[in-house]
Amino acid sequence: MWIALSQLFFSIDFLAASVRFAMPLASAAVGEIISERSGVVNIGLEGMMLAGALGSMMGAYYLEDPWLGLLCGMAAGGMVAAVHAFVVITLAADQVVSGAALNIGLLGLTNFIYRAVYGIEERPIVAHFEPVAVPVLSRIPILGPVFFNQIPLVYVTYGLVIVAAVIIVRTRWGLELQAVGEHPRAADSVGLSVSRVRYLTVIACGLLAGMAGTFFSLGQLHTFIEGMTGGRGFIVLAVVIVANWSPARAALAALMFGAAEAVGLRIQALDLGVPYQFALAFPYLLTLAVYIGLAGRSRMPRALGQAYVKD
Amino acid sequence: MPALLSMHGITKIYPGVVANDRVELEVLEGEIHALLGENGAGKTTLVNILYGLAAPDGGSIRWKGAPVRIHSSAQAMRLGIGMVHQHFMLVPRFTALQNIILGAGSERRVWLDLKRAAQRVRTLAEQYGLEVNLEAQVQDMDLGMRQRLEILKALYRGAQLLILDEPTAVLTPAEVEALFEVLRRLAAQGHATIFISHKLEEVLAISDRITVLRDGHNVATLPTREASQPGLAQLMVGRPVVLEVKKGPARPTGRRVIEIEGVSVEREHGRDRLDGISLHVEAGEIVGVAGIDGNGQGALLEILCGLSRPDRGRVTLLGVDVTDTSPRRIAALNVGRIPEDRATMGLLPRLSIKENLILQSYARPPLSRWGILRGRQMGEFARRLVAEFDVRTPGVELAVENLSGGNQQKVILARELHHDPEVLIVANATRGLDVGATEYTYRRVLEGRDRGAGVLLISSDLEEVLCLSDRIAIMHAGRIMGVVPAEAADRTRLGLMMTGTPLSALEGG
Amino acid sequence: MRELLRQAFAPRSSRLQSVILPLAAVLGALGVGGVMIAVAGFKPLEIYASMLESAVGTPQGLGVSVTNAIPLILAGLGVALPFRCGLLNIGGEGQIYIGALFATLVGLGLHGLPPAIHLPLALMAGFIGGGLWGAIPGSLRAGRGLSEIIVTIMLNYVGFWIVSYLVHGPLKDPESYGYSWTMKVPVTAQLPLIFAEARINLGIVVAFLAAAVSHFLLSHTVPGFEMRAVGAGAQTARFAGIRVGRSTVLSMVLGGGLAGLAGTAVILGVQYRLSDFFSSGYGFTAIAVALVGQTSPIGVVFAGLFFGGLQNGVNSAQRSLGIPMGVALSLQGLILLFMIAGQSATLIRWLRKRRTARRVDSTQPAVLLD
Repeated sequence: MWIALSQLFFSIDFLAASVRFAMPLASAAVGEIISERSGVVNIGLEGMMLAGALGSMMGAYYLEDPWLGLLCGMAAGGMVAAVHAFVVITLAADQVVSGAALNIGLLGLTNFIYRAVYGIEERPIVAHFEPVAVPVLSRIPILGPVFFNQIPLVYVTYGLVIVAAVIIVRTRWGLELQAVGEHPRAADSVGLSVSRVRYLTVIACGLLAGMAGTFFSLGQLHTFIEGMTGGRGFIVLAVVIVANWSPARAALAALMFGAAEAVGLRIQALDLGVPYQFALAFPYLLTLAVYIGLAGRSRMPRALGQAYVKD
Repeated sequence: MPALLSMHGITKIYPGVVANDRVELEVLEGEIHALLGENGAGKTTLVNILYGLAAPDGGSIRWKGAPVRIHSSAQAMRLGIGMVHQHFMLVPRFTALQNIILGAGSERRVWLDLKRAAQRVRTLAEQYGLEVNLEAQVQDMDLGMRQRLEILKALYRGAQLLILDEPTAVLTPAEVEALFEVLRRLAAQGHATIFISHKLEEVLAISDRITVLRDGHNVATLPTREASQPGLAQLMVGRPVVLEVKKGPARPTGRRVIEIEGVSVEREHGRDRLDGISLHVEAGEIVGVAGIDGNGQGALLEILCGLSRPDRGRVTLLGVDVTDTSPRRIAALNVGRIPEDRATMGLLPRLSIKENLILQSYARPPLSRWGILRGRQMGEFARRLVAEFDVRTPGVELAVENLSGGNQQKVILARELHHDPEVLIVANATRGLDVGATEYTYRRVLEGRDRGAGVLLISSDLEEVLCLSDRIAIMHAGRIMGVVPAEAADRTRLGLMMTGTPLSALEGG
Repeated sequence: MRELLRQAFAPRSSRLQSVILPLAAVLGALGVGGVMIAVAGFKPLEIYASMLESAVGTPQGLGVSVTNAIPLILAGLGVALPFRCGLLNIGGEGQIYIGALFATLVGLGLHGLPPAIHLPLALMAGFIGGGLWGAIPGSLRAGRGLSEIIVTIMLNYVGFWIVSYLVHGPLKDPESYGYSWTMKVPVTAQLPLIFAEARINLGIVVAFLAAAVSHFLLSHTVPGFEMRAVGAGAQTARFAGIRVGRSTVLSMVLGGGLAGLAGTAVILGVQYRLSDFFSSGYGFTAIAVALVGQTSPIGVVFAGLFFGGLQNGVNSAQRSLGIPMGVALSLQGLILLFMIAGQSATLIRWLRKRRTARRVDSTQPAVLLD
């Protein structure tokens, strides 16, 4: 059994799979970090990711190109986010309930639209992303095949994490974003438009969540299945807290959860006598354990979750 | 010389109140212009309009001779109007430098150039004598530095007119002098200042001209050299009287109801540290704790209410050691507490008046039995208290948040005082209340004392402390600088103690 | 002085508002849903009429609606109670499954008991199971301030997979061949039918009782008052001596227990066996039920009945008229959105501003302006 376990952890396949599973989480996490650091929490991530999955699948179906599909997926996520933004910013309604409502509604809506368009026929296989090896980097021993032989979306996500980290720390936008999330009144008093900043961050989050959803439909499965995001939008929420709202740490945390998922699959594949339910439950158990153990709330944006209403 | 700023016929109506009624204000270059008036006179509304935070319902504004309509603070800042609010608008986790440059980028630059900004800021700081540590986080700064930071912020954006809203509320007398120096320097370099205050002494000391508002309209505008304290007071209030409460002599019984011995609290962020506090209150007297906000009063209050524990020392209430105990145990003692923040500590806004009134006594008969609340008794109880404490409301089922500030205070007073507590702890209770409600509160507190309670009164309003206390303790930087009997208290000595001079030094000579 | 409308889920708002708002939200959602249906190529009015007919038109239909409502009312109470204490219980699904599990174990495990003992024991077991599953997020929140939202969602999945494993494995009925479910719970632990023609079981009485008890608890007892006080202002409540942590945990235990009862009612009243996937998202629909019912137990009953009928109508329409699946969930989401939008204080203020402001003499405003 120990041989099997070491095979488990030292195989390139396993590590590459971890990266593969981690990237959608990382992408959505970056979006959520941007949104939360400006003060808006997005429970509806799961719904936005689903919308992205369906949107990109349909885009790829009609436009026969995965990149165009990606754009459609991102647009879908962005549209859902726009609704959330309107409800919680302009109408100043409760952010958590709005997110929950969007999750429920979108689960139904994506099912509805998919069935309405494609019926109960065989699921269409659409134009999708294939893994692409980066010329020089993919030859580095171990790291190469693990990190640089993935679908292009993964590379986009790498860049995303870096760009996000830079923006937050070194640009004017990042400073304003943080101010809005820490002390919206102060930001307002120096002339920043709290609403505008928040609208932008929430929609950005939706776009990135849409991209995360695209990983599922155009990356892993090449089609759309109802509820295919399987609760990962919620895992992202925990990732953000555990990562203390830093994009770089979120990427690391995402890798850990990606590995958990890969472990789950491996356990089933290796037939170690562990019931498959445990394998499937493992990522959620891990999330729970990590959240309980590591919740570092030292950098939680002060105004997170509170609507800002000018009198 | 044409006026820098001219506000003409400004009117602003909120539901239920006319905040500004055809108000006029004129400010010249290089002038320090005081805007004087009581709470509710309309001063803050007027400057909010000037700073783009509110839109006037009528009237016009001229800036440097040209008519303008100010839609937003951003626009006001671009015009050259800067404001230092009463409650600082600083992001606590940011450094001073970050706060200054926030939103101040003149060109649409994306990258932060901290070095260049720091250079500019340092030049400005020197020019006006504003000492600020740029690398420090705001949450670690004392209030004086925060204020200087706010002023720097405005100057960095090119403010020519600076509005200061009650700036001295949080300063020690020495810091007030330092602020005045800065204002004089600003005036000498052509900047104008609008200095909002209700403190007559300071207004007389620093301003060139004074505009007095009352109940939303102008009462007078006059050069400072022609003004006097009694004259101004009369203009402000409309009658030649200042708040006066009849206070009989104290009759302390010698029995100590509050004992604080050697209490210390270590805190990370500097403020709200306590360093060996010892104080006692006897039944039948009022001990006032005066001092600038942020010198440990908050920590002291938390310990007295059981919300936090001291690292050293002991606290005894009515003979019971409460140093290491929960709010629940303290609430069970016969102690009445009037908190400073009504909405978040004193009341449950969404619940009814009745439910708020029973908050102290719901767990015992007659209001409940075996865990079940008795509706009829609760209703009678509530109605009785509402009548006794004169709470203006159509009924006891109304949600407390719908009451006016004064009536909300009465609900709290009713709840805490009706069972004749032997100890009363009152903290900044009259903040935001009008004259009538303040008088009522004072009366009730004195009544409590006359009925034999021991009262600890914590307040950043020195007038309030002087008015009510029998003995006065001054807090500074988490320590008691001295305790003086009320008759022997004079403002200069108290001011010195608030700045850190212990009583022993003053008396030793 | 006119009462100001406030953004709150407390039933302090006027009677009129608490009925009009949910009604308006439902109508709004139906409107948008109608557009969706039309776009998919069906006639909305025809669909809605058919849904109404199936839901309440026949005794059998009515029976199905009421039977659907049973878990919704119970789970809805399971959301409403913690909500009054300031927590959002999204863990209904997990609590339903674990509650159902416990009830099934008691049902299958005890023999030879009269129904008058066996059934209440099974119900209690369900309550305890759900209560345990609710105690976990409750104590984590009370003790360490951890968000109950994340914990409950994770526990939803864990709870589901636990039941799934047991149902496919140790508890599987050896004679079930293709299906994965437990053996049938003996008659003595089943909820009997009380209306034979409509096939409504005793669970509805359980649901009504639970609502009545919840109402009494919240409004007339000391622990209920403390929970409401904590929900209305935790700081003030602590200041007044209320043990905030204890109320928090209590509300989650009760909420979880009620959701557990919901799962129990489905097993003991309808299926008589435990299987995985028996909950068609009751835990999430419960959120809509709680909010539409304005988080008052009475309101939850009505809202539960409504959603039960809605579910029935949608299912029938899907079967007989072929509209795509997902309509029910979409409508739920829409209703929720409309509900919170309708309660938005900003919206209310905007509507009020459109009436002219009149000068009112000497009434002191609630906020003192300077």
